[in-house]
Amino acid sequence: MGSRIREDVSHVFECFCEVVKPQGDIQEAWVIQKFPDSFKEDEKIKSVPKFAYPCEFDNTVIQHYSFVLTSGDSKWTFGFCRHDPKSSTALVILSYLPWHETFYRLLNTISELIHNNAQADMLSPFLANLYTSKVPDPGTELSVPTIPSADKKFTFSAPKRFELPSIPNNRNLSEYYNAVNCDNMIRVFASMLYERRIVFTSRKLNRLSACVQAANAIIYPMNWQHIFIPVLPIHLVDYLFAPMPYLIGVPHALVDRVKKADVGDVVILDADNNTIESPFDDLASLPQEVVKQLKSQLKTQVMGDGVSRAFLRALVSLIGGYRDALIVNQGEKITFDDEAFVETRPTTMQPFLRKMLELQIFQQFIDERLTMLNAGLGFSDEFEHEAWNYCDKNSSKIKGQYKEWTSAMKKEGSAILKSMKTRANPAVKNAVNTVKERGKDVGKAYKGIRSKLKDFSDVKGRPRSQLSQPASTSYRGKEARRSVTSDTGCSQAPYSALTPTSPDHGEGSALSFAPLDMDLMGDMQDVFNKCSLLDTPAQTPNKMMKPVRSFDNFTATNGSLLGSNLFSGDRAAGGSDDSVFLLESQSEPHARPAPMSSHKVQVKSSSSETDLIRLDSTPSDEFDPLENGHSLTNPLYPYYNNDEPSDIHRDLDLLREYGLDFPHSNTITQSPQNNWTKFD
Amino acid sequence: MDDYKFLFKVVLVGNAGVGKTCLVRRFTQGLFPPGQGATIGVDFMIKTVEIDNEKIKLQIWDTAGQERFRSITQSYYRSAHALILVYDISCQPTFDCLPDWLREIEEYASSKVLRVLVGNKIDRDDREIPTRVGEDFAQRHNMYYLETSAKESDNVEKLFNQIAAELMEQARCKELPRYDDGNLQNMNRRTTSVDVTCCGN
Repeated sequence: MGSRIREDVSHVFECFCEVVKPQGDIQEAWVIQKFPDSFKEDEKIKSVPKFAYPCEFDNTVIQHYSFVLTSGDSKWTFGFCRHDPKSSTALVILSYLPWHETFYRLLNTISELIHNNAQADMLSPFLANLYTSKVPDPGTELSVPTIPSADKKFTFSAPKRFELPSIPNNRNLSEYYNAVNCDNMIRVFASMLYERRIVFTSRKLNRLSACVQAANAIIYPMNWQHIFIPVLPIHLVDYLFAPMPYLIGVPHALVDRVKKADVGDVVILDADNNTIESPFDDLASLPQEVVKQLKSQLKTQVMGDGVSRAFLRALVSLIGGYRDALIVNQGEKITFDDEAFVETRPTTMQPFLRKMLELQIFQQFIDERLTMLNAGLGFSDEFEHEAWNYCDKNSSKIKGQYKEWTSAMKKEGSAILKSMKTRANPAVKNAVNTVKERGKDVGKAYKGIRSKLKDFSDVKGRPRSQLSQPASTSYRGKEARRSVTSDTGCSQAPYSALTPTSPDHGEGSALSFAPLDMDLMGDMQDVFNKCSLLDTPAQTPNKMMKPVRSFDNFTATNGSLLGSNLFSGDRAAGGSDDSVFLLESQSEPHARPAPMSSHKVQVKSSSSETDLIRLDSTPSDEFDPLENGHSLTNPLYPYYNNDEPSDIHRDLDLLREYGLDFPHSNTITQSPQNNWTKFD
Repeated sequence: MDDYKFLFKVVLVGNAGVGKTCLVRRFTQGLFPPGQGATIGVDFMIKTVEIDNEKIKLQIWDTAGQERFRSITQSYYRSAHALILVYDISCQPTFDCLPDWLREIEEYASSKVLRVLVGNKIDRDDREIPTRVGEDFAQRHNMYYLETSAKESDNVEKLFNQIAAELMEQARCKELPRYDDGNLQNMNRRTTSVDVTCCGN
């Protein structure tokens, strides 16, 4: 189906390799050791050295990047790579899981073990331990001892489900945002929607892979369906001639290896210079109201998942209307009507939507949505929640239909699924297979439907929408935080305050919202925001709802700013950027936080109550805000986690760790309202 | 950089099992590069042929592996120079699907693309589609027609050599815009370059 991430993953990583760089007489890189030894996928192992040393490149600082291998079934294997100028080898982890931050950290840990002679024999048991550990469920933590005698551990969390990439937590998106301005991000976004042949170039491998990965993440819930090579090795340059769409990261050293005339019409993003060359004007072919809205959102919300969410909302405005084209008939599987999809939208959108129907990326999206719906999974991801938000009146219609449909399925559900399985339509067959194959998440839900009778009898006696479960609180938290902006055409629902004793709003929400009484992030974002000088003033309602962080937390930990370091490993870049971040952090106390009323938050949150349909799952499938002992209402906003009180610290450290120099320093220093002081 | 005068991209389409991959393998004799598909998901072969003392690089793309798409839509053929539509002469359903394939091709591929209909597997003795029927179909749709056997290597060289010759002829007549210098400049002119500025400018 649409997704290119494997769902049935049984190991955290598939293979670890140490690769010796080509030197002297030996022209090709080669694998000197691997773990586990039993890993026998020859094609992949053969490819690893070629991707680990894709071409001549600058190796003056420690750098992490990722490459992607695509198998015949279109699924991706990620190769996480660490180069150290002091070492003549590269470290590579192959995994089906796209957890960049975790694996880069893991590579640092492995590097420490390898390069410290006293610990060298710890590597094998550590890797074995990690390899045999169960892949942690979304949002849960896994801890594996590295040096048992010293009680050292490698600990990481699996990303929470439906979590949008956020700045600075998500390294790829942070890099992308750092390198490419909003206008160009939007241009790339448009060209991806039109399935162009797209090339990114950079002299830095880490920037290259991060930008390609982030560009793909930004089109969620769609997935790039074509050739996808975040870092192109020299032996594959002929792929640049491919007649079909591609997204390829080309190291700068390889750019001149091909005749541009032979490549043909291609969109080129130079990530080092933030320039785009394109023979197309895709941006102009997008509905302009959507582009305008996207631009304004990118100005106002950057930190946290602001960037991801802005693009998600743009997609909701563009294609969220697919629901109006769903044909829901009792006893039949839900289908999609192309004509209705176009006809039900405003005329300004219609040319674009007609075009969309011809695109692979959209077709896969619809197939995936139909699969979800027909499997009884309901509307349950971030896209759908934004879509509910986008237009209430339409959604209630389809929502009602879907409710009826699923309740009918309760009675004859297995029959429908059976008929789906036996239909000749390969897409549907495929879909069912996919659902069957999928692991923890969907698999459980599917099983849930297969053993429908049992499941639904459980549901009996509690509200259909399951809103009384603690899990749904998480959505409410999200709703609350989301700026209920002037999304075009969306009428503001009349909100009613929840009573404090509402069972849905337990201690969790109270705890997490209580300290958030300032719009520190809002102001900080102004500092970070490239566009702050051009910003329009009319965004007050937005600011009220922006992600905020506790001011107290910042001041409490201010003193240790210099010393804090998230990662024990080496830094990707030297400390030359530090002054930038120190400056920025110093500015915080000057920021004038807007009051954040927790009352308001609760008022907004009630709006989502009627919108949710979650018929899918057993309770264990759902978000549990209280699991892990976090007093976290919103799984989408990890920085509300009380375990990590110094969020700002962490952000700055993260950015520094990535070697990122957000290009705002000029703006910042010129900004009159800030009096800068320096650390000595 | 390789030494060649022209580079042409050829895409093979047709139902699964008609022998697309075999045709390509037979033509390139596994010369270049076997098994990229295992790491990139899409496979191609390259063979350089010589016509009128000019070196021509043929890059042949196999759509096998794209079966996960309910149909191959949009842009898949956008920058191909030639399309080879393959069916199996011993399998009526693969012939019956031709109109569907054509509809897609006509909808999405550049109108200048060279189209060739190939009836493969003539080594088999259970032929279901007479040669005349294939020829008729090709003629009606303005395509070249050839019958081949990847297994026996019949007509395989001829198929690709003719395509190369035809494309070179077109290129010389400036029918292939991207080899036209004037057009290249034109493309550069249209290129939009964006400075490092704030968004919203």
